Amino acid sequence: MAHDHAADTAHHDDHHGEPAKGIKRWLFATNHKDIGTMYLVFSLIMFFIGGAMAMIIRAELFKPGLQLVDPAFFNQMTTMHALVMIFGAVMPSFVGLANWMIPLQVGAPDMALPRMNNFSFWILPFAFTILLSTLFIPGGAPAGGWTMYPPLFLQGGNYVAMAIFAVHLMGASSIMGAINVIVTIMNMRAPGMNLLKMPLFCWSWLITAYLLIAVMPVLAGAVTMLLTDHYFGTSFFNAAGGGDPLMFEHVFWFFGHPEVYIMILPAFGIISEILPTFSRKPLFGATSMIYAIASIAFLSFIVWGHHMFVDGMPLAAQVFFMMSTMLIAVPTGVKVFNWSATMWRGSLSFEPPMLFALSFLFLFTIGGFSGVMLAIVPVDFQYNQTYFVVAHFHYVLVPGAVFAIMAAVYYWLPKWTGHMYSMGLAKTHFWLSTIFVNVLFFPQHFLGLAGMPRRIPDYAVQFSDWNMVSSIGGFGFGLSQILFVIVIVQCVRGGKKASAEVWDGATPTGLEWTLPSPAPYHSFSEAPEIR
Amino acid sequence: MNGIDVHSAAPGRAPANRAPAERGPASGGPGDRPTARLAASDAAAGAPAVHGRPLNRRARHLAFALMSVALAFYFGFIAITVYRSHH
Repeated sequence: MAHDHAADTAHHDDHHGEPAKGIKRWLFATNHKDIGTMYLVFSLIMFFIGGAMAMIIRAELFKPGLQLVDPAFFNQMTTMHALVMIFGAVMPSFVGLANWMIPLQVGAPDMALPRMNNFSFWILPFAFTILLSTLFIPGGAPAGGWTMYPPLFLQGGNYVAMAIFAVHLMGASSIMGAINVIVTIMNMRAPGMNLLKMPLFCWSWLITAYLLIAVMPVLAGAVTMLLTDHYFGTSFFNAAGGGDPLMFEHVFWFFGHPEVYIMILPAFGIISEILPTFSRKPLFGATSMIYAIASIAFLSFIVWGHHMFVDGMPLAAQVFFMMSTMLIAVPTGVKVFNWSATMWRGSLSFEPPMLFALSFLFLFTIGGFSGVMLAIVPVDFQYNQTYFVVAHFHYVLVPGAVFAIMAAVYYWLPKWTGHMYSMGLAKTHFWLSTIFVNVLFFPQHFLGLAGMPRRIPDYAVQFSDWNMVSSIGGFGFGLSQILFVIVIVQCVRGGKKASAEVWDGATPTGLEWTLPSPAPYHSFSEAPEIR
Repeated sequence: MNGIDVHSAAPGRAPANRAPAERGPASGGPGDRPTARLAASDAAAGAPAVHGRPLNRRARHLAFALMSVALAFYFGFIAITVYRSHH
């Protein structure tokens, strides 16, 4: 695909300067690798903070009755867990991967707008400091759910302004990151790399970036109006003043459903990179994969009503949202079948990235199936606000998005650090994660079907057994992630040298594998030629 | 300074290899333009212009266009919601 740039780039690295020393390197970073690393470290920290909140939730639900925390704090934990995991862990980790990999994959020396890149990262720690500090103010943190529905959210105390400001900052950060991705891909691809030659990870991120630009301002607009309702006497969502609380739900989910795809489309790109490598075959139907991602992105704008079936809406609207939601199964099915066809008669090997990708394929599909169930209006009437919904979206987001992130880290870590990691530890991490994630979330389907409501700190005794199993799974999954950190730290500190290709014997495709490992601080200072 | 301009050398794109005078000097003097100054300072900050050619104007225009779309969505959705919540 491209000539070997390893030697060239190593030479050029010499006269483009070394990274600044100390804290300045990180504070004033404009290098895409440094900023990508900061995003990934930040998201890992948030993953553990959000995970600690999940542990509190599962500890409280270990058995019926109130034992560890008071119900108000429990509600704060469910709300903050969601906000931290969505906006602090999953989204920034994908932006971190984009920062690291998009310039390397399109043959660019850096992201197109490096100072904006720095700014979009550094407002995130401020945003989350503000959000997390609400736990320590009188009245506590937001507790009405991550959806911030009025009137409940508006009845909150001091946290309202802080949470809304934090959400605005997160949105601004995401929009700037998205602009950077689009501008980089549209302007900085190496000569000869037309769009259809571009790696699937870049494609998935290009589409995700457009989604972000379309929907993050919608969230920002909605929460701005919440702010004015709370502090400036407006009544956009206040029925007493002539407003409409249901309107907020429509606006929120117009953002919220594409947001779900923002968290999964880059994962599709990652899986589309890993499966061909370890199947030693090209991706089956690469062009149809791109169309499938684009179709999913388009459909994500016309399905928001399925989050609101029980709120009351005309029958025609219910049918429309049900059918449009089910339609998403078609391009998603195309992807799952293409991934399966990629592996068909391939020469498979099962290194950690491949194991996580395979786990993604099976478990994400389970989450997809339960999503199709929830799309059926009368079924949703039954399952809405139960643990079945919790099981569904956690299957999509944990063995879906989070496993894809872990797969990506295991796939590209040797390229980033120049060292191979401990395959044994990584595989142990994989098996523990896969077993415990199912112990954690699969029983929640049963609990939901049996009628256990979500977002409650106490429950009827008939739900005891499966809650106990789920909590054990939760503690196991949480503890397993310590192995992930150990593998990464060991790999950063040293280990067997990784070759430029890293996965010797496999057939990785993409420009990143033409660079030496670790990738030089300034890569592709001369554009590679794509044939 | 002798690298291929990856910003605009991809097939189907207009060549960006304009004469230096057309691009304007990096700072001050006749022909100086704010975009050229910005591009030069981007390069000084370690931006992609390390291989000798500043970030071209199209990239900057695309970034501003996308930011404008985001702002239009922000105010547009507020306007729609204000209208819908009272009618």
